[in-house]
Amino acid sequence: MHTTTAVPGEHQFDVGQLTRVEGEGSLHLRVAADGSVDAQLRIFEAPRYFERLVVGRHPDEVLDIVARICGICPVAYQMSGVHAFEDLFSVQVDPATRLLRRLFYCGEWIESHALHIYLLHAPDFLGYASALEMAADHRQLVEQGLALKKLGNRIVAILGGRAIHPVSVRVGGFSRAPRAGELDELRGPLAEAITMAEATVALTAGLDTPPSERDVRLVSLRHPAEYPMSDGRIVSSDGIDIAPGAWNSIFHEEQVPWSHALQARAADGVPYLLGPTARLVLGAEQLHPTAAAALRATGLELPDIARNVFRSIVARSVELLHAIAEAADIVERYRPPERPAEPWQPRAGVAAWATEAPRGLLFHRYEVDEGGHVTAAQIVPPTSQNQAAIEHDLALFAPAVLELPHDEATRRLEQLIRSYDPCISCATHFLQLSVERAAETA
Amino acid sequence: MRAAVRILACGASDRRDDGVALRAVSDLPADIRSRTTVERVGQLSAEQLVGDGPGVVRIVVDCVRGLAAGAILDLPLADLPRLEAAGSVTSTHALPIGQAVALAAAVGAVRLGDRFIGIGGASFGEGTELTPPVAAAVATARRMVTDQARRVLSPSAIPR
Repeated sequence: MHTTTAVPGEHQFDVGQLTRVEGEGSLHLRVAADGSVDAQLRIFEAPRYFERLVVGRHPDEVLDIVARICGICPVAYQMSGVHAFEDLFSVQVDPATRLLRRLFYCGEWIESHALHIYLLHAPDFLGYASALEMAADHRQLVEQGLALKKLGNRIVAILGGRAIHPVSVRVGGFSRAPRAGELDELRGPLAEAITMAEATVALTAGLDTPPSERDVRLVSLRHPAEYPMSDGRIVSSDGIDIAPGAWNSIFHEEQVPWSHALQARAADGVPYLLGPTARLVLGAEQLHPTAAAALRATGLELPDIARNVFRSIVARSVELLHAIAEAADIVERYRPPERPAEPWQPRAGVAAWATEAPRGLLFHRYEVDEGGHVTAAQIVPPTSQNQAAIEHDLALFAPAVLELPHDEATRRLEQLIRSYDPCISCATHFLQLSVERAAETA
Repeated sequence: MRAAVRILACGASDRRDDGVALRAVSDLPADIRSRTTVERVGQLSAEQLVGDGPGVVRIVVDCVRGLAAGAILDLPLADLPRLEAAGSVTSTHALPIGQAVALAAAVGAVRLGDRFIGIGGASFGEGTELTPPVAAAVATARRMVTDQARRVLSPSAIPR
């Protein structure tokens, strides 16, 4: 709803229920007569208490529990957790297992990015209310999205036992590794998918994009030899460079009154952007050659993508192609590890690591006792980190839509939010709760 | 062309009645088991209906709200979005199964012969035990799945 308030020149937008995002949230945006903007992304999905659920649990139990946080990116939760524990316990995994984990992550990126590009975000650019409506005119586009999502799910199911909430990740490796030849079924579909994804990069780069200009701090992992997924250092476009377990040394979470999700900020209070755009700009030199060539062919420069929030669909498309091409390479040269998982011994300490979920950096920190049981946990999903940047971008963008009809203005604001592919269910991981009890009378 | 049958059972076995479809497909007669593919899909999504060859018929089995506990509905899969939109039957899943079917139908991936068998549920809390009326319906649901599969696999069945 767009209302002009009783104050002359003041405008207010309320989107009671954001659609085509995962989870439940709303938008409240107030543009004052002096042009100042107050944007609130109100996340009212119930807190889910996962940080308490894992207390007292053994690492391998934790990995199965945290996979339940998200039906779209369960692999990310398992990868951040398993790398944290393996770092604390000094576990060296077999290089073949490491490649399998990258394949696992590629599967999730393919599934998640395909869902967002084709079924959630493309309708915004092409003028449809949903993928269902879009299918009437762009059937091939929807078919491609479904085919790629199916392929990503298949990769996750082969490695994880099932496509949603996989169950195979263990400290030291997997509960079971595929035999030689067991991945062969993926070769044909991956080869076809590369062609589809190349076309998708060209398509998204050519979409009519609303004008938008921002100068945002980008944060992602960066690795000297590979596109960031599970290893590397946390870096930013303005000089942050810390170990993957040191998130708390620069960043912190804070509560805002209008959201069940904690918001994350850097120590200087500046919002920052995670996800495909950040990874692409900070790690473009590590793109698979196929993805790098497709990006070059668009003629878009990295700053063009970083500056315009709506170009995130291009970054996501380039990453989709990267994930498919890398998955094809891994399948091609796959050899099973010597054993599915390396043995390990627990030790007391702090296990902390960050990996790259489809939506951006996902940080886990566990305090562990001598028996390996978790005594405290902190899980910082990408959407809760992106919240402040979303609100910042909404405030920048809002004045540009004030003269549009209110339905169109609202659609543009929702489109901006969807550019971040927010996963609200993930974001509501925990809410600080204090209980004040009245003194009991005798 | 010889027909093939995929049986897609939705639900979670640790969510009480939500697991009824998994029970219904768990002990199908041997001749059906050997000639069909039974898949436990959790929540049905559109891509699970895309990519099958033209001779493949899908039987989707799920627990539904909007029916009396233990009541069973057997209808063409293509009719499910309409029923769901009318509020007659709703899925127990966050993303309604009808929307997934509608999206698959929009790209021509839902066929005339595809069926939906829905079993009314009453309780979806934590636990593996079905409520009594739903438990009592398992055998009937299993028989209906079997009958639909036999109908498709029958030598006299019209290729679809």
